[in-house]
Amino acid sequence: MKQKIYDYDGYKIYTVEIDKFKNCYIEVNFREDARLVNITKRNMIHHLLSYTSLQYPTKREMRIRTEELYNLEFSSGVSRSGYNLFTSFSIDMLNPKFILEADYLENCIAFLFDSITNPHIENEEFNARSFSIIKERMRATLEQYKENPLSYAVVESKKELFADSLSGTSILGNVLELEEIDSHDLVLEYQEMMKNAHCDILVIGSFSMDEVVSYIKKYFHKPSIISTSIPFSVFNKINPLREVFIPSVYNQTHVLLLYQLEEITDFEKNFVGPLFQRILGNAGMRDKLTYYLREKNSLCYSCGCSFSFSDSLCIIYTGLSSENIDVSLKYIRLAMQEMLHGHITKEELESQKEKFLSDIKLREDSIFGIIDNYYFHNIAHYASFSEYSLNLPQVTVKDLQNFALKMHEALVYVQKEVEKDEENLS
Amino acid sequence: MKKICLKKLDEVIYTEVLPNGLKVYVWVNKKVNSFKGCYVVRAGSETVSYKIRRKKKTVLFGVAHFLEHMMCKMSDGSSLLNQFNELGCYSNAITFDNRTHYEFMGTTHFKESLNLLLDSLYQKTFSQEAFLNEKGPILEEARMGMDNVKRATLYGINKCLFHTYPNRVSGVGTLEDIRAMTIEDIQDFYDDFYHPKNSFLIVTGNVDPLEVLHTVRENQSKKEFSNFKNPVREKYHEPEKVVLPIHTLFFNVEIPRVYVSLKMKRSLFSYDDITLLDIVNVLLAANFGVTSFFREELLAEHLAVSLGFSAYIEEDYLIVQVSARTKYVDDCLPLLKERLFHLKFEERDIQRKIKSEIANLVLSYEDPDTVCDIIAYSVSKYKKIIDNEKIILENITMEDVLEVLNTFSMKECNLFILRPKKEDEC
Repeated sequence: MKQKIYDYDGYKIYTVEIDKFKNCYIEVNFREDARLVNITKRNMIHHLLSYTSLQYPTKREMRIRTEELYNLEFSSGVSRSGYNLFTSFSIDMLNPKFILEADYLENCIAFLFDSITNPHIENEEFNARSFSIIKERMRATLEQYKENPLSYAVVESKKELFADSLSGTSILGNVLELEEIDSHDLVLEYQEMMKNAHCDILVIGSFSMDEVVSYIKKYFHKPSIISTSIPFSVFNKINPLREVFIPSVYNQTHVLLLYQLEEITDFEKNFVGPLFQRILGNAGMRDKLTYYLREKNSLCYSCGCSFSFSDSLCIIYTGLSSENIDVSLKYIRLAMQEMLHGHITKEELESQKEKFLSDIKLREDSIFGIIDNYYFHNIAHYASFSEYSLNLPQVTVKDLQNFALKMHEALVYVQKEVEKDEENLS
Repeated sequence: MKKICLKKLDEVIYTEVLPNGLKVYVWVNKKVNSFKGCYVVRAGSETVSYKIRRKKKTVLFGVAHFLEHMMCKMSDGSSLLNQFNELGCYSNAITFDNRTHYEFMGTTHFKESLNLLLDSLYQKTFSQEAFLNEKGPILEEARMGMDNVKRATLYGINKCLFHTYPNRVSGVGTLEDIRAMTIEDIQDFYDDFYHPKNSFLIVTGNVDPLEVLHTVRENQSKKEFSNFKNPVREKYHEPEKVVLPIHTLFFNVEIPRVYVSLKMKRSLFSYDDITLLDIVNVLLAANFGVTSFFREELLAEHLAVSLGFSAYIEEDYLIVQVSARTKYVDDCLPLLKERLFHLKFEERDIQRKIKSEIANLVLSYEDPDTVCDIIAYSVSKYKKIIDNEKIILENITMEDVLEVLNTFSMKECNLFILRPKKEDEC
């Protein structure tokens, strides 16, 4: 495996040359400060650019082209890490060594950059038909999270806790902003992004990277920008504990506890925090939450915890009957107390370290896992694969206790099930 | 070991039948770090009525699933999954319609994990305490499923299509069935189906086939097995008619969905299952996929937000289904039905779809997890490895597509509409 960064005026190219997969992957990230741009508009831009282009003015024509390129998968999306907002475009293609056409690699790269740089703009507006289809589709997507009780609870509880912060904002945008988007303004936003965003290009596969880079330079020209550093963490004021109970239309009650984190070190972000997450609520049937809520007290089927280190947030969740709300809260807090007091056996700690390292090796079997790790190691100080095996064994119970001390219970969010006759449920 | 060469895919699957009847399949990829082991028992959620030596047995819905949970308990009540976790492996158990999987995946301790899996499957007796303890989580799993849109749709449509097939009830069982279940139900089902002759083992990833076989042989040679009871599943006599031609279900959805399903006798078609499904799928893709004019028009007119299609064989019937998410049910549904009743195709469309399918097939033989699932599906559904899938795709002609299309019967059709619950309340 060979890794190399090519640094050009307008963009950087992060490359990993590896002969392990039958596919290859190229991703273009436009990275901006999320405080300064409109997330709903960025969503609409990525949808529009991957829907049609000047060369392929209908989705049908664009898809025919990708099918001709041996089912090339062209995707786009918006994601966030701290204050960094990524508007991404990617192609997942067959390894060119399986293809007879000598210009297959160049054609794929040309397609990707043509879609990004030649959008379907007519008279300084996005094509009206594409614009209206995407708007309608986004409206539907923005409402769809309500169909999943846990997703709904997570989104609404974050809004409740972080009313005035980026951390409470949905990465998909919101309907009110969507309705106000004007096609001409969106073209200006697109041009702004192309001009001012940091641009990172990620390439992984089994081909000559110098050849790939030469094609990228041939098809993509971007003005250089002054490099500014955008923080990878959002720090929110620690809120006093509140309890919110809301009625819902679902058959099951969802109990969520949201913990806010004080500032953590890189060592904690990379090694202590993820290990803490596994021991508390993410180790299959072995973790503390599953033990207390499911195994010992038969209260639930599903429970666990998830961390968003870039938002300094931990969410503990479970789904159960409404009569068990209080008892579940008691056991969740008991599990947290055990973490705080270091009630973790040596065997528990060591086996979770081993499982963690095994999972890292599993990530090395994924083309996306490898390129993601390489990229975020370089831009956001996330640990490289080799650093895990070096540092993870050093984590102690004391480190986990100190980490628990930095966690503050900020919100109890209960989404109560609809009241109805139990016997009629099924 | 016997080699099964996957024609024109350059892939090999090794296989062997042990003296106790257990069949073993191994696929090797030395480029990855990971391995997967999966023990498949040929009994699942739809195994609810069967005969043993002419004596008919009927079990409650959800017994196979409850047993799957109980299989993951050790004799002391602790979780089997914890033991895999200690070996650094991820593990899981899943109940499908006609089979149940017990699986592990990891990068270290392969031999120990394989032995742990094989040691956990036989001579089981279940304790009443563990059984009662597991009822709570399973009831919660059932309640969680009742909020799941996909499940509600699946069972809702099956109830409209089929009079006799057991796919009309959730695999987890109803709340009433779960409450009524006894430890004897679980033990009986286990004794009837869990035998090497009714199972097969799949190992994929970075392994040595001979070492796998040696480990399995050694493990199985130390065990004693009772006589296989050879249960025979009930053959259902399903009428040709659909149960309901049209049905509306009110559920927690934001945007309505519509489904048009055709029920056709499998025996009408002269092709084998794989060829038939390949042909129907490319035909549906040409008519309702991203490259179809029909889809483009529906989206542009805002008559649908998205379109989907599927084809599958359920015992004696071929089911062909198209669906849409739409705010305009009354306008969209007739158009969808009309198009399904008058499918069209052009040779170049079909050729492109076939090329895409071939690319997908080639790419699928890389990841141990995916390949394991392919083998499990193929062996349980067709009792063998399909070794000529690429050739089947390459050999599809326009005459084949036309013949299938001309055989289509539109006589038995169901229209299923999923509307937001709030509309019902209004």
